[in-house]
Amino acid sequence: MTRERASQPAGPETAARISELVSELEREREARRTSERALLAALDFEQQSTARALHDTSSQTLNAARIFLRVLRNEVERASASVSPTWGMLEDAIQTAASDVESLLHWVRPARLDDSDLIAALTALSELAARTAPCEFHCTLTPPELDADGHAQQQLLRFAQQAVHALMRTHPPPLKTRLDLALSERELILSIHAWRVQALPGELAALLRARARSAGGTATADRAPEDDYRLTCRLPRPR
Amino acid sequence: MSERPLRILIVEDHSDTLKSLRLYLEQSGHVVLPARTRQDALQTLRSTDCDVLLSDIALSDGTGWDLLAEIRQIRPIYAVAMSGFGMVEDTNRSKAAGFRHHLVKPIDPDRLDSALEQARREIHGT
Repeated sequence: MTRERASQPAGPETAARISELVSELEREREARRTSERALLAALDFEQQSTARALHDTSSQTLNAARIFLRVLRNEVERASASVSPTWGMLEDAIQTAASDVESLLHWVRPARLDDSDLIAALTALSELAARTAPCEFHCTLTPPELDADGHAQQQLLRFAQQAVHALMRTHPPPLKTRLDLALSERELILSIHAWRVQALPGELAALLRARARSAGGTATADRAPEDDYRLTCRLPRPR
Repeated sequence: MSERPLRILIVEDHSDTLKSLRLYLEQSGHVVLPARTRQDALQTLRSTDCDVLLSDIALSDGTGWDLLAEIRQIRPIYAVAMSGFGMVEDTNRSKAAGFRHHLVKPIDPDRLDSALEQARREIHGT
C-alpha cells in the first residue's frame, strides 16, 4: 500500500469490512467473558463444596476430639490425679490443627455478599486476614455510593479474598497488607497493597485478571516507589 | 455442679460432635436429650420437657432457624445456636429467629458454659 493510498479515506467497502470485524471482535470478547464467568462460577462452586466437606468432616471431628480431651482432663482432675504434661501437648496440637483447618475454611469458602454490603464484607475480610498478619482496610465511601452492579461487587469481593489469601499463602510472615476502596468518576477501584513481597505466581495473577474481566473490568499489578506491591482491580460504574 | 441442672435438647447431625457435647454437658451435671435431625428434635420435644435448645443451624432436614420457629409454636424455649458461619448477618439471623446466643464452630466450651449459665439464671433464677 502506498503512502498516498493509505492516507486516502476508506471506501464504503472497507468501512463496512472494518465495521464487520469490530462487531466480530466484540462478539468474541463477549463470548470469552461468558466463558470466563462460567469457569469462575465452576471454580467457586468447587471451592464451596470443598469447604463444606472439610467443615462437615475433619473440622468437626477435630473439634469433637478437643471436647473429648477436655472431658477426660476433667475426669482425671476430679480423681485428684495429675495430668501428664504430654496431655497438654496433645490438647495444644489438636487445638492448632483445628484452628488451621478452620482458618483454611474461611479462605477457601467463597466470600459472598448476600445480605451485607461490599464495605462490610471487605471489613470482615481484612479482620480475618489481620488474625494472621497486619491488614488494614481504608474506605471513604458509604454503601449508597456503591453503584456497581451486584455481580461486579461480588467479583470484587472474591478478587480481594483470593488476592489476600494468595499473598498470605505465598509469603511467610511478616506480611503487611492494606485494602483501599475508592470511586472515580467512571470506576470502582480496589487497591491491595502489600509490603516486602514478590509478584504473585502467574497462575494466580491470571485468575485475578479473569475475575476482573468477567465483571467488565481490569486488574493490574505494579510496584510503587516505596517498593510495595500493588494489585488494582477497576470495575466500571454504570453510566 | 451444685446448681440445678438444665435439661438440654442438643440437635446436631455430626455424630462425634453430638457425642462430645453430650459427654461434656453431662459431666457438668446437665441432663442431655440428643437429636440428630429437626424431626427427631420435634418428636423429642413433644414427649419430653426441656429448658434449653442447643441446635446446629445446618441440619440434614432443615435449618436450626426453622426448627426454633416450629418449637416456638409449641412452647417458649431458651435457644442457643451453633454454626460454622459467624458473619454479622448469620448472627443477626439467629437473633431474629429467637436464638439468645449464636456460637460459632469450633465451639469453645467456655463460651458454651457462659451461655448456659445465663440460661440457668434466667430459667431457675439466682
